[in-house]
Amino acid sequence: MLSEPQSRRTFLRGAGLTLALPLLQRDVELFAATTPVKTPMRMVCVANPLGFVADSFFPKSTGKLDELPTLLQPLAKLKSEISVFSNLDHGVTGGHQAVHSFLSGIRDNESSQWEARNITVDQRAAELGLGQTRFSSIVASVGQNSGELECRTSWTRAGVNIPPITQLRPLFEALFVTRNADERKQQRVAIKKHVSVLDAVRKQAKSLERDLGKVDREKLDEYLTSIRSVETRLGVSEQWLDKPKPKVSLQQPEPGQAFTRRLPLFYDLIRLALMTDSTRVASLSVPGNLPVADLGLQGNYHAFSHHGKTDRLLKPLLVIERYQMQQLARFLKSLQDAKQPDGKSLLDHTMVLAGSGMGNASSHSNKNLPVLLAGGGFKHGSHHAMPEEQHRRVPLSNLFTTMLHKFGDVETDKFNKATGNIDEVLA
Amino acid sequence: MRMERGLSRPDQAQPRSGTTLMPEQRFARSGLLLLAFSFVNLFSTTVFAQTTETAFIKKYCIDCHGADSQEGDRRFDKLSLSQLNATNAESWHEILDRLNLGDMPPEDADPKPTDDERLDMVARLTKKLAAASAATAKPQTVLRRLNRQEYDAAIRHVLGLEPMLSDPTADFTPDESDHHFQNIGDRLVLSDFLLTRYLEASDKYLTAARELAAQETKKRTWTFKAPFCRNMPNPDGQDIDGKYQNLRANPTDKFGYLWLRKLRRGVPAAGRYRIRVKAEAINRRHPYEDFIIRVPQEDPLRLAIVAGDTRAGDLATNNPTDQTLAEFDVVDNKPQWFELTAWLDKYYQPRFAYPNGPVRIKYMRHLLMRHHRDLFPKFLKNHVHVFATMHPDYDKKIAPALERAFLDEQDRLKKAGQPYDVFGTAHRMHTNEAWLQFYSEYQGPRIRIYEVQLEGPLPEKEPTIAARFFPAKKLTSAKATALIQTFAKRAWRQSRTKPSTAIELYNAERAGGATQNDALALAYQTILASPQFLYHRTRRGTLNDFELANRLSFFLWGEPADEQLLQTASNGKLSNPSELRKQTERLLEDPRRERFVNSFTDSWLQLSKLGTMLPDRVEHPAYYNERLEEAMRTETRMFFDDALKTDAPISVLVDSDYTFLNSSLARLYGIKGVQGHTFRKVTLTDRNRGGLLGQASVLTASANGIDTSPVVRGMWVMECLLGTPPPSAPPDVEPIEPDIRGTTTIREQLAAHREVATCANCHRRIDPPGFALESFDEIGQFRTHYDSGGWRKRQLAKIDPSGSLASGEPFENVNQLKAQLLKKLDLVTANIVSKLLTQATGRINDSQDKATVLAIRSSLQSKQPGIRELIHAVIQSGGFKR
Repeated sequence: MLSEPQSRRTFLRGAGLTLALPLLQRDVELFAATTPVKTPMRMVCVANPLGFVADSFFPKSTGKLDELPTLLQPLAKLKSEISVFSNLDHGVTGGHQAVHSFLSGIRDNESSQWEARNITVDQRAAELGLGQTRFSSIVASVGQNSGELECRTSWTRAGVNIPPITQLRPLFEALFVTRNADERKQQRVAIKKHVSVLDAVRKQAKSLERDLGKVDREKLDEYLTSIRSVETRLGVSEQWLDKPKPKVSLQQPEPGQAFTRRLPLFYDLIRLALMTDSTRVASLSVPGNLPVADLGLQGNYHAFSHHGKTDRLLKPLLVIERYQMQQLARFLKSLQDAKQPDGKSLLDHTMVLAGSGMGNASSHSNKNLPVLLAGGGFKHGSHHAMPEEQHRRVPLSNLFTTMLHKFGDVETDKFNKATGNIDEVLA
Repeated sequence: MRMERGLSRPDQAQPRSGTTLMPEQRFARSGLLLLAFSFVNLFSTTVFAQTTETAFIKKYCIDCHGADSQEGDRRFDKLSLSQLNATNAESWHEILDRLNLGDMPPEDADPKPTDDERLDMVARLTKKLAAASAATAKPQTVLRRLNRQEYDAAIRHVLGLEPMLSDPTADFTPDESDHHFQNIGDRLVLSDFLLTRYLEASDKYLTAARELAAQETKKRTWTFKAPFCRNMPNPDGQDIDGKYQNLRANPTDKFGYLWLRKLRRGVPAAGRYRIRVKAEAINRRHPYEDFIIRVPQEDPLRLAIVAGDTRAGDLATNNPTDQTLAEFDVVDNKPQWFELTAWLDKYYQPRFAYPNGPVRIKYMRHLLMRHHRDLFPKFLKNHVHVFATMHPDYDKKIAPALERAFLDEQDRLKKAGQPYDVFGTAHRMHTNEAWLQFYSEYQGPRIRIYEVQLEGPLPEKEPTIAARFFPAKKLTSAKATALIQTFAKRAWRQSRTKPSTAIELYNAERAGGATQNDALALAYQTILASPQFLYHRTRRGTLNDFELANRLSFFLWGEPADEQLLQTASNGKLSNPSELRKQTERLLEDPRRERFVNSFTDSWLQLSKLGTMLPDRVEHPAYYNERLEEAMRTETRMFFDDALKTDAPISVLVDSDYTFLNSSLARLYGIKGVQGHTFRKVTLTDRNRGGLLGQASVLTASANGIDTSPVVRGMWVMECLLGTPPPSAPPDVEPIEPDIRGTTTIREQLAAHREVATCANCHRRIDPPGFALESFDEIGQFRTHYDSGGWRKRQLAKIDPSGSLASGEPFENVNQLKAQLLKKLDLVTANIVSKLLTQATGRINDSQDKATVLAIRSSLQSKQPGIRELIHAVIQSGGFKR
């Protein structure tokens, strides 16, 4: 019942944080020592489950970005750092039930037909860097999601959805709070215990093989692979256990704050995680149950998205979507302001993909997804309209393939359903 | 109605251009296979037997599904019935479904089979397909892992931790579902993530078991008096220290709980506790408008006792670890004791809440100030600025100037370094003092809590299972080995495999200096992370008696077999049909069948969707205020459970003259005379609510919380009731973009959609039942018109619930639709048998299962079998044992 004065107070604090930008340079100096010699490439994927209103997202003309539509206006100063794509999608259907295919192109119920299941582009990138940073990826969501309105952005090679971190505090602690000697000792004991359990279990499981047919041997292999993978992960955790975590100027976030406070803080934590090389891959999703009251609206994000073309619902929807774009712009700007040892900006070394698995929430269409790519050293500044005709359509996974190549993936020829690359963004 | 018929003419259909589609591809590929088989058939001895069926196909089907034309990408001219294999069996099953439905051949086909011919064909085909051999089944997964619920139930069963409150599986990756079933082997993947969670969870379960084993029961008693906690710095004048403290708001609100500050760390040990609380309801009849307080005055106030982990955060509001232990109706104006004995985990404490209390208190106060200004003089005088709209002297002409003056003044004070209001103009009414002042004047409903008593842990009658596995006395090496073996046998569901690596690990740990119980815990953890525990079965072939016992138990109780089942199995009696029936009856009589009822209705009726797409708070406040989601689920679960108990005929699922209601749900349905929170059987005069199609749970799960779609509801009828789902929509058709500005209805837009030939074929089947269900809104309220939504609701188009099924039967409204569906009970029966088989075996029906389903359906004596009888039939079938 006291939420209003609190949100006012937190708003003030939120405003204070944007002022903290000059501190960024100091952060970098703090970590110059820990940053590797060759500046690595990073990847950040941002998604929402309900898309963006097409008329307000896609520029009217193609080619060089000139006059920007309403939703892209917050990015006006970053025009030369972004590319917008139209007519890209995955050729899947299912409305809300297909949104989770945004970063993979494959719906979970058809994933068993693919060798790498419905692995998403961020998790493919994470695989490449396993062990090089403390966390192979951060999967975060701004608050508790509910069921079908979840983005479910990130999926592994096993076809498993990674549950996102929804609270700021545990994320902050994982990244920046060093455990004391006692806690580390306990953790080490736990790791050692789990290693011996896994070792015993693996020996035991071997004896099962003779009782099983072909299909089940594959299933057992899934189990054995999991054991190996957990062992690797435990190894990585142990290796990082005693390395001190980086210190940052950001204070420990308080729990239970307004959405308008949490979204920018999640972005800040991701930026700091990239700057300190705690991870090189992150995904962030906005929940479908976004508390619109925090944006001064009354109603329900999902309800607004069923706008049926009425202004009563379209107007508040655009307020929510524009807010997301403003925060994206703020994030991109902060990456641009952070200089890397090689003199370039962090944005030059971070490819940021933003968009949604939903093309049109009012008709529940998964076609023509809103897709925006920024940074990462790509050639930007254009709106690329891909062919519209059914038989000439370009899968969104082509863009993912291009991104992975830039990220340093030499193994992936065509990512999931990709048919090639999107060369337009290559300099 | 006329419209659909006109649009569904198949002669309008055009063959589809070469797009890539999943289901169609399958059929295209099977065409090639069939070609090969048809040569063999020329020399087959069964040529005569199959002529009638193939002749039927030739006469009535191949004009559209033959060599010249393959509508819907189906081609039947070379379909063989004597050489059934996995692929062509699927085509035959589809043909049978459509003939059963009666919607193929289409109504205007020429020639068209007579009803007798069609039914004869159905009977023949059913017999043939039911007899299909195992060769038609594809190889399938035996290694089906326990899903999250089964894992939790199994591990508690093994360790004897059944009453535990905390849920160590809370952060498991969610189980992927298939056709809304959460136990399908192929979809239940084991990943490194999950394996890590398994290790962490088993740590927690084992720790809980060790604590339980080590505990010496020292009973304690506590008495708590008001104030139980300080939710705000000062009492509001209506709480009296030493006497009572008030609950005023819904637990979703901040400070919605009374908690026990003297028990801040929770109870010191896990166990059963006796909880007593003295409470009284006041002000149920209050002086305010009903729309402001929003708690129906006829409902008694409810008191909930909620256990929560004291380490998990704020105790004054909802907490993710909360578990409601009990709820009571509180008597008005008369303090009374309420008592309950419940399990509490270590660190948990019981808290008290008013679950049907007013929600959104801030907004409620706003409305009170607008409509009952005179009843809150002190609050208004001391805490509301004159330029705030709720102030009695508010004047919109001068308010902006006054507000500006106030802000300027604050600015001046700030610059002068004097105290000022940093929070601006709305601040004053939100301070603690303001709330206290408001509550001292507020005469709304409250629950007064006078005293709380707590006693426990109460002594347990028998030594716990946990104590057996973590003994206090020292074990010899041989005894320890025996104990680990006993544990493995229990955890691995009677598998004969020796836990040799667990024993080695125990010995190595002991040799390395670990304590006995530490080493035992590690050995047990190994056993609990082994495939023999994590998977239902780890060997091929027909189920042996132990496996049968566990399948039966997981099916009906959601947990491993109990002693009696294992005893029967070890005597080799369980596979005996009469003994199997006896055990099934025993399991169905036990309250533990609740897990089956819940999980089966969640999957079969897709009720697991409830709560995933929440309705709008402004449009449907009752959904939240009166906890309708819970009530909806309860209605359907009780309805199904009652059908199970009474062996009610299948027809009640389509239409019934009763259902189960409490006051909240009855209000949603507009049914008078149901009072109180408790559910009871109600005889319906309004038949709109008969059967599953009248239940708000189904109507809400088949909508999206915001609006309804005849397509989604129609799909629900096809999938969940008739069991004949159409293929998924082709990806190259743009979905309908709703236009709710008021000129066209969804029905008109769908009519346009059906003019597209690719869409017509399925939509003429899907849409009509959905049209009838448009009479219910997105939370299942009856309606006659659409409305615009929003603050100022306008009535839009009238709803036209009429239509006709693809097989031709017309209906004017939802009741007539149900009457038409009652004629298709055969399909409903087969569908339930099929879904029960899926629930029991954890596999989506393969063609052998489909044959089993057909065989069960033909073997049923009665035209209207009871639901319990169907469960028996499934359990006795061969499909259950493979």
